Amino acid sequence: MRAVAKAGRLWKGPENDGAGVLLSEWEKPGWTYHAKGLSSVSSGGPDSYLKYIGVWLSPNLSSPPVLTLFGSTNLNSRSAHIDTELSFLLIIPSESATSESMQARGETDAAFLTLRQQLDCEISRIRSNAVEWQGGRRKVRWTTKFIVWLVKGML
Amino acid sequence: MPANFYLSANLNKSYFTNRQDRYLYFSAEKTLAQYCFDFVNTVTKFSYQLLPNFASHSSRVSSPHSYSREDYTLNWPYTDTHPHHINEKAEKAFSQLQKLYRPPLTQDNSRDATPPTRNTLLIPIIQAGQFNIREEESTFKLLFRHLGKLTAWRPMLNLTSGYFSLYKPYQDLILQVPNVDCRIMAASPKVIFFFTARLLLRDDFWLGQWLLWFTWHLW
Repeated sequence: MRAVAKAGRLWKGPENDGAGVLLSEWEKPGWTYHAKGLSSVSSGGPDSYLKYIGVWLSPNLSSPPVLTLFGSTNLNSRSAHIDTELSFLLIIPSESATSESMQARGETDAAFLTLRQQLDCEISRIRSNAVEWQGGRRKVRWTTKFIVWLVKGML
Repeated sequence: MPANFYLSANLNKSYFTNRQDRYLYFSAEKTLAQYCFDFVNTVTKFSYQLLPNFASHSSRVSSPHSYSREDYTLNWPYTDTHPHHINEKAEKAFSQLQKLYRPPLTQDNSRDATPPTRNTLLIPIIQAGQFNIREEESTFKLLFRHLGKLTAWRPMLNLTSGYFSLYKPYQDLILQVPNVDCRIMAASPKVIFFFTARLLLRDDFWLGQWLLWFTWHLW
């Protein structure tokens, strides 16, 4: 959060009608986020799992996305340097080609819009469990910071 | 070859029980199916082969880097390349695969980013830093460079990063391009497995400390 503040990019305004960089945490009772194959040792632990890593780009805050990135990447340093990741960039036109007939264009535009709205639903669903960012308030020992600095390229 | 398939995370059992993953279903997409098939074949070229340890397979065990245990053999396909030194081979193989599926930019269409017929585009992106393949990084840089030029627009980027800290160059791009708004979602400590496991719940456990620092403090 300090880096965001330092860059002068702190989010201003409500979540669905603001600007800047908004950091949030995902939290849902009984759920865990991105636990790969750990359910067998989770007695007394969470019941359900979420793995939802991706990117969605919209022309503006009130428009549904026209681009999304999905695949195996975790968008972290380990994915960038150590693992082999295959992802896909899906790009949806905001309107069909003018060379098509009026009827065909109408059908194509409707299909594009449906797909974009489905991507928008993904964002709404995941953001419905967003809570306030607490990162700056958590206490961490200097030894931990040092160890993380040593192995940061692998994480 | 199947032309209908799902693209998602892993395919192990836990991913189909009480999970919410990101699945995208594609139907009648033979080119996509062929690409995925070719990707697997490309990786297979520099992977160990698991073979039953029968005498009949001994002729296929070709490398001093292969080894046998009990009733199986891990066969390394190259005699001249150590498994730790596959970087050049892998880089070449991945580059060739991408070149095969990506139409070359001509002088005409390099000037105009608008394709001649508008349709949904699906672009495969390989990121394999060890093999000097960094398409994901290039994509992020190109995307933000393009978005930064759209001064009349106010694009909105939503991003989810799980419990991992977002790669630093991506953080920098988000912070440095002022006209792109961004909402980023990371996992709360309460929904990370290590924290929900009672044994590791204590805040002073080093792994918990590591997660706190690495995920939530670098921003």
